[in-house]
Amino acid sequence: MTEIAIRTEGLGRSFGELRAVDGLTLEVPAGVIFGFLGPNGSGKTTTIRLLLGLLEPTAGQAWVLGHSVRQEAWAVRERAGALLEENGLYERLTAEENLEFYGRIYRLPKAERRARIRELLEHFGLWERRAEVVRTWSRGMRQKLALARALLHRPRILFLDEPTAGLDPVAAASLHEDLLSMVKGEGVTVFLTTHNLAEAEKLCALVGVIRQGRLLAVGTPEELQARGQGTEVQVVGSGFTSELLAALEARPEVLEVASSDGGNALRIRLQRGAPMAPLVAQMVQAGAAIEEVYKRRASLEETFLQLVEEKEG
Amino acid sequence: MIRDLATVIWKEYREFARGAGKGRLGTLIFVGVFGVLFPLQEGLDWFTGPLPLVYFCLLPATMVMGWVADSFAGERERHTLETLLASRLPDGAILWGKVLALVLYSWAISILGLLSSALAVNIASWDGRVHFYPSYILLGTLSLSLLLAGLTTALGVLISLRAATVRQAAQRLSLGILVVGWMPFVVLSAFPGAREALARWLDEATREVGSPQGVFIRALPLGLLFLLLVDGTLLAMARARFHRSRLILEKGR
Repeated sequence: MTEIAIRTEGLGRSFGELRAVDGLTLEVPAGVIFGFLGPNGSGKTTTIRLLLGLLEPTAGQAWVLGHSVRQEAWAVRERAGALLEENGLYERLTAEENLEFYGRIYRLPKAERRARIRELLEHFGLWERRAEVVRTWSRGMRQKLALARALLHRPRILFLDEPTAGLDPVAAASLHEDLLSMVKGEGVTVFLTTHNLAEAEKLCALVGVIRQGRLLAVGTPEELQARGQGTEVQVVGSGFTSELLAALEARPEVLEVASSDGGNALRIRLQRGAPMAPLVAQMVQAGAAIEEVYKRRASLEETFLQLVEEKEG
Repeated sequence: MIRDLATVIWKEYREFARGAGKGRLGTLIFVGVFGVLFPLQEGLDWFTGPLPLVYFCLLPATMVMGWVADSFAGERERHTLETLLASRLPDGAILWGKVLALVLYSWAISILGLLSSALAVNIASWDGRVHFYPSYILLGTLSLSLLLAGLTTALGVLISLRAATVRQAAQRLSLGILVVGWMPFVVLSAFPGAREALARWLDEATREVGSPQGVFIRALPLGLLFLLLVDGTLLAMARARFHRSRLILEKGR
């Protein structure tokens, strides 16, 4: 049986009239990177705060590693690591002192603490700069240090709230690599919030989409993509007349037809599972010369946007 | 709990030590001026006069004002508070660790000042024997400085918990200290009867015990008890106010 790291049942948190998290029911298996996707203000950060016991739920219940966040929040925090919206580093302290402080908080014995600090700083390429005060560091280096701090006590679960927000692509890619290698090496469960869909697609084994506090969908990125509306087909050739485009658009399985590349390419959005062959035959009969036809699966980003738009609709 | 307290105190002192040297410099200047220079001007009278009480009770308590304002408002302003609250540290360890760090620092300055001034005066006015403070000065300074440091810290922490920025906390604390400091004078001027009663009591007490020192000795336990009650009330209020979800939701007011 798969071990469940996070389980929520109708979890909710209201601030007056505003329902920041509304009836969230979710299960996250242990040992995976779970991506929690949603636009700004959708309830991602509030969910993390609820799961860490930093806020009390106004409805429902949640368990992290089997501990109720209502009754045993201390036990959750003892076993969890967190990199929240702000990195939370003490900028007047050195990198080593920042880790030393959290090593003491988690009561790592002195020798183990020293060894672990060295291991993490070396892993993140920060060992040589351990004696520098953090204030002088770049944002990317600080994020790495904050990630090292979150991993210091070998937590069983890691909460990361938009860890690459504000990082340049190189720093973000480097952080992704570090994160993947650390997760693989240490076997932790990661609950990662992001609105960077490419990040989620690259890192996450499982994703959930949240909007206005409500969970819209959960599944693997592939499952969510498969749930996306239709399939996109790209047709390259010539002779795509306006009459042909109108005839194609009139077909029931066609959702949308658009011409591009100066009339030498068509982008056709088909209903999910609809065959392409009849359309190709119709185009050839109408005198079009077809050079290439290829299907493209909707990206996670497109699926995400569709889900969010559906909800808005 | 003691280990958690020690951890918070360790961090507070590391940050203090790394605070661009301002904290250490201020401490050195204080000890140099009030713990060496001024006592040397007094000579052996230093030990029996009221100045050790004034210098080493009031001044160290005011020296921690900037630091105490920073205690929670600084963590909030520099965005370190939420990560700290997300750690395994119990509420009590975070609050009392910060309080203890401040009170112990202030008290240590008082003790350092008492010792350095005694040493300086003994060296400068050496007459073949070691001079030291009479017990009422020593005990009075040690106990009053501890409780006054507690008062500044308790008031400061209470204000800092609610403030959005360090500057806001420092301004409110200055105002708070001013109000608390002037309160007895305001009360005495507002109630002539109380003023007359106090004057009568002082007069009788001085006549009875024969010296102002005697009055001080007689009034000390009452003053200590009063300070203890005020400190305890303010700290209990700070503890009641210290709640993780409240600290997360309040961005300071």
